[in-house]
Amino acid sequence: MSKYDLTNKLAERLDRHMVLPLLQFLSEQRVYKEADLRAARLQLVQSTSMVDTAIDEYKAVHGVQQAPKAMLERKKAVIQRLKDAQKETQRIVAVVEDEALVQRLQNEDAYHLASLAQRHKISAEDVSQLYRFAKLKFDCGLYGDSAKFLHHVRLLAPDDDMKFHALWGKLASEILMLNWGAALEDVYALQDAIDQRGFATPLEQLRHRTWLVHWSLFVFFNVEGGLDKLVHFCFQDTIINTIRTNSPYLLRYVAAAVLLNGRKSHLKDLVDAMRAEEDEFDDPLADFMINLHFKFDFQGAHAQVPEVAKLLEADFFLRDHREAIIKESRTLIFTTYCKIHRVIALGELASVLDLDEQKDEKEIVQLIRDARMDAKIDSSTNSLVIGAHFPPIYRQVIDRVESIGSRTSDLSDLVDRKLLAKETQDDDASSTDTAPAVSFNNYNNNNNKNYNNRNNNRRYNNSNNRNNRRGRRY
Amino acid sequence: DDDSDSDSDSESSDSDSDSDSDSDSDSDSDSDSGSDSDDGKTKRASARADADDDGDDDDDDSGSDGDSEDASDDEDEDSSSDDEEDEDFDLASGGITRDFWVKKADSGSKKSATGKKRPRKERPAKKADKKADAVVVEEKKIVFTPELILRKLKELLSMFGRRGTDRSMMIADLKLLASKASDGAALLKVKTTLAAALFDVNQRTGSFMPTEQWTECYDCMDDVISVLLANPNVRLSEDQNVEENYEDELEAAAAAAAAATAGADEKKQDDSKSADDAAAAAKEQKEAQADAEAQAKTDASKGKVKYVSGNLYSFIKRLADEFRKSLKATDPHTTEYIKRLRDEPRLVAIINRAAEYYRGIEMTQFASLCSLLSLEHIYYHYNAKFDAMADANANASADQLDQENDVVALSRQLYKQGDERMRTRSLLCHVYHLAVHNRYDDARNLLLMSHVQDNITRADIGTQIMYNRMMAQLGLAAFRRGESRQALNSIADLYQTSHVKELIGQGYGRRDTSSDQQSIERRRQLPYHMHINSDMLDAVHLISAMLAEVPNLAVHGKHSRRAVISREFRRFFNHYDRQAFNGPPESTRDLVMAAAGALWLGDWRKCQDYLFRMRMWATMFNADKVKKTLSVQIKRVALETYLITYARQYSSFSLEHLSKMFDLDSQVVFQLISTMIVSDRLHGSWHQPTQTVIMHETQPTRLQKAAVQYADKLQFFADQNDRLVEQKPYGRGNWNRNRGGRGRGNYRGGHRGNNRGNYRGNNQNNNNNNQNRYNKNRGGNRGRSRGGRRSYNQPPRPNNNN
Repeated sequence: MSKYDLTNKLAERLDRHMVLPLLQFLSEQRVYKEADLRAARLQLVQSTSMVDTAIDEYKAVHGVQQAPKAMLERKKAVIQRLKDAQKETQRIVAVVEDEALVQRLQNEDAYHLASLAQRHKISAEDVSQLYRFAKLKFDCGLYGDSAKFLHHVRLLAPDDDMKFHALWGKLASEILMLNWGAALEDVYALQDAIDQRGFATPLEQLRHRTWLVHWSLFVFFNVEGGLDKLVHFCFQDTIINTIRTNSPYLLRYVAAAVLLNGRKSHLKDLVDAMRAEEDEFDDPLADFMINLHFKFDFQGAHAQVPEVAKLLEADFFLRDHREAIIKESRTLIFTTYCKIHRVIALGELASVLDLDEQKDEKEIVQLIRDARMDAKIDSSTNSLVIGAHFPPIYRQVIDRVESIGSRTSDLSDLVDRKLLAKETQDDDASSTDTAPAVSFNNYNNNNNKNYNNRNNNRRYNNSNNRNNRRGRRY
Repeated sequence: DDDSDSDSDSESSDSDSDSDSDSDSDSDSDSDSGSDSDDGKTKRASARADADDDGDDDDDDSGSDGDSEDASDDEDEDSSSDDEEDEDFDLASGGITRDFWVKKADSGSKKSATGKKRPRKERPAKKADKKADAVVVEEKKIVFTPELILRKLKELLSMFGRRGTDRSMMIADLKLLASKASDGAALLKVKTTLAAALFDVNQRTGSFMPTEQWTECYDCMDDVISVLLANPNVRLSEDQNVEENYEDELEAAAAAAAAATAGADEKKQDDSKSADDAAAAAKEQKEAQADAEAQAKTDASKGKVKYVSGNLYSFIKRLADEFRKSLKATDPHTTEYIKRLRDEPRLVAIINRAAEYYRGIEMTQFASLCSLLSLEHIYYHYNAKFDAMADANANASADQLDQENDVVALSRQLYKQGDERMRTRSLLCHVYHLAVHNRYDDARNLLLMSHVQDNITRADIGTQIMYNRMMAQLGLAAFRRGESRQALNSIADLYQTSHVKELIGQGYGRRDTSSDQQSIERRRQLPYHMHINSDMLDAVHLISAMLAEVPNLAVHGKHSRRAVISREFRRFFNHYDRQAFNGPPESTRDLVMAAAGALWLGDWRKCQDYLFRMRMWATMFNADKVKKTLSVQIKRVALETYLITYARQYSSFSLEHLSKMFDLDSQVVFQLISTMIVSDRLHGSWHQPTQTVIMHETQPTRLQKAAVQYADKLQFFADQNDRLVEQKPYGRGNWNRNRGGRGRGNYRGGHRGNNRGNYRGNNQNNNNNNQNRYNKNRGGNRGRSRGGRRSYNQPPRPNNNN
């Protein structure tokens, strides 16, 4: 069972503080020896500044009442450091905690370092001290404060580096405070920041993305409607490539999210990705998907289901969804099976789905209803007959030309606008005698940009090829 | 002392007379070419004769210089090395040394116009040597103090490149010095000078260094490294801004010594020529010298490093270049080539030694350069030990295969230490190596992670050739693994133009280029043993294209011009198809075309027969395995083509029948058909109880067909409009022209978005620009290879139904 356990791999790319809940979960699972886990936890806690927790853990591990002197001293030192830092940052904390003031400043559009330096004598040094203070607080487990401070650091920080790191810190704090909504925003903000930030090497950027994907699991699996968001998030070019390059084991979560997604969007992309990385990781969920959607080996896929169940049982993120996933995977087998068949003998269907033919007719009916399929049981031949699901040729024609009308009208609008622009430009040019080309160009560029965006969206929906042409980008 | 003062003068005249004597002896022994060993003696004799004659000879010499020069030059070319070796041997025996130096002293004395001074001067020098015995013996060595060597060296250096300097004599002199130098730094100085001289013997561009000479250079470099390793306090300056302090130091010491001897000399001149005095003078000199040495030693103990000008890496690089040049100049089908090739391990060994040396003194920059050089000499070697496909290693993991693998170790090291260019090159070597050893996945991942495709166009042409080679090799690896589509993706770009061989550095065509251009191109060629089998490359390209195109053509119709995957294949196939009668296929291309024709008809057996008749299988490792996977691929493609082509004529297909017909496992057939159903390429569905596929498709009516066509056209029209509007009216003004240039090629480019729109056209326009010739595949590579990752098992062209 522990061979499906990803804690080790995940922990490498999580913050220390986030590993704690994972360990907690493991000890609930009783897969590993409790003593080992406790030792691991102690070690982990000791590497942070959460001194009280460390002391408690120590007592529990060693079964003693008194923590060693060193730990107590460390506790003193940490408290001292906190006090010192508090003193140092007194001035700036006073400002940022004064919500009314901050609000006023923001309304005046004056909440930035330059104006604060003028009015409140706050320097860049203060901000970086606040940043360090927030980090210390985070390290001590005081996530609320650190999130709050880092929020302000982000607004005030003089250099982009600090803003960037503050964002990471804020995300971590929000996650650990279980503040999912805010965390989700941070995930997106961070994604943008990583995309736009200049990294020394692509590898560095890749590393940041990998971390982001790992951290975001916490968010997506907890926030409302998070799984759909996870699917959407993961199938962006950069992210899926990150996953494939650096952490193919995460495809498990992507697969789960796709399964739970009603429309099963990106199923094909997912299977492609899994097949490409098949050699690099071993996961029953991936085997299941490949068996089902590439090999069309339904019995093989079905045989994987118990394994998948085991996996789900032991997974920190997926445990809560295990029943839904199992159900969805059975339905998926059924729908896929029906999709490529027109007539299926009930006996065969039962054997594929591992049902008893006589007893489980009800079950099959239930499956048909769940899958909302046009399928009927024909008792005279004892088979399941699936209705034709191929669109008639006229449907094809309609599908193809459907969008052309709106596209063309968009196009003509655009051309009209351009012409108009050109005319005004020409007028300007004739009246002022300046070179029209430059400004005209700018205008066009803007127009084009808008248009391209729209256009891209359309393409994105319409063709898979577009994605295929792009390679791995991270 | 006279000796030290007039030395430089005497030296130049000395070498003059030497060369003169050389030519004399030449004329003597003209008839007897084998009398090289005599040569030295005769020369000596004549040198003596010269010296014993009066000074008039000198004038004659200078007069006849121009004439004799030519003769001796010629002689160098032929027998220089033999001559040198011979000389070396004699010198070591000691006798000639004396003569050699005596002669010099002679001429020196001649200059000072006192012929009688000679014996007197000779003696004190000798006595100095053996002062403890104080026995005067005629045949004694002169002490070759570092100063002396340095002085001599300076003279030789001053003659470097001067007109009329006889290089082979210089080399001989340098060797003599080298054999005498004891001090590390001095030896190094001499050796580096010697190496430079050796390399310079052959100055004609385009020619290469003969093997013997190369071996000599090699030995010399070997010695240099040994010296460097043995004397940690002596270093080469290596381009750094280190003042060459060694010479200055020695000069100081020499000045001191000179002062001492001068004093002694004065005494000597005043007094009668008593041996005791001379000995005393010598003693004094010795003391001065000892002082200087002590000084040097204390310097050394203080950790002060002596620098000698020179760059080890450039020597090594030169050595490697010469090696490559000589290989290129040799006919690859002779034993000579193979013999020459045997020197490669030695070369790699010396490069590695140099790398180690650099690492030892923590000059990472040069260590990396050496590592790269060494890497570039070994990366293309095939070693069954590392082959993932070889039987013994069938289950070995990547880590196991990486162990003890020099290429992997070297490139990993270079990733850490090298600069941008080194990293790129080592990466290309690494990927190439992995590809050669059938580790396609690792190779591909490495390549994709590196993003080397993105800026390969900015690299130098040599690197671009390496890149192209790597892509070719990657394609071959993919093919061997049975992933023909990936193979096509990586190879196809090379075939977009007809200059494949040029792109991978294996040939230079194009008669219209100037001779300069040709010689530049010739320099880029790789020696034969590094070549990628271009017949195999052709075959793999065409076979992969065939496997992708045949079902694609089946979908779109044989003469459709849509959805082109491989233009090259289409061209050949159309040509083949148009022929009224096709003779029995012989060439690689004919065989593939015949196979494609068979495949088109679903006759996979014939197709396979044709393909297996190719010559390339004989040269492919693991050919049997590759054939097996290819065979499965052929069957699958044949089945697919068959189904697509004849679906309309069937109302149902029997699974069992199909599996028998195409000799495939029924599970495989089921999978294939299911995939086709799901991706809407086959309009049918399974009838499970009877194990058949029921075809839904009915022949569309003419109206329906026309409607579909009309819809397609409308869509195309709309797309075109979109594209027209997307184009910016100004700025990228050349798109229009370029489009004219290549028709559909540009169309494809334009499809990818504005910013990359015209790469093909660009290249077409700038074809004469050399840099661009190697860039040709840039856009294509980028798009394709990056796309390659994601288009696994992508159907050739999915229907636009949904």
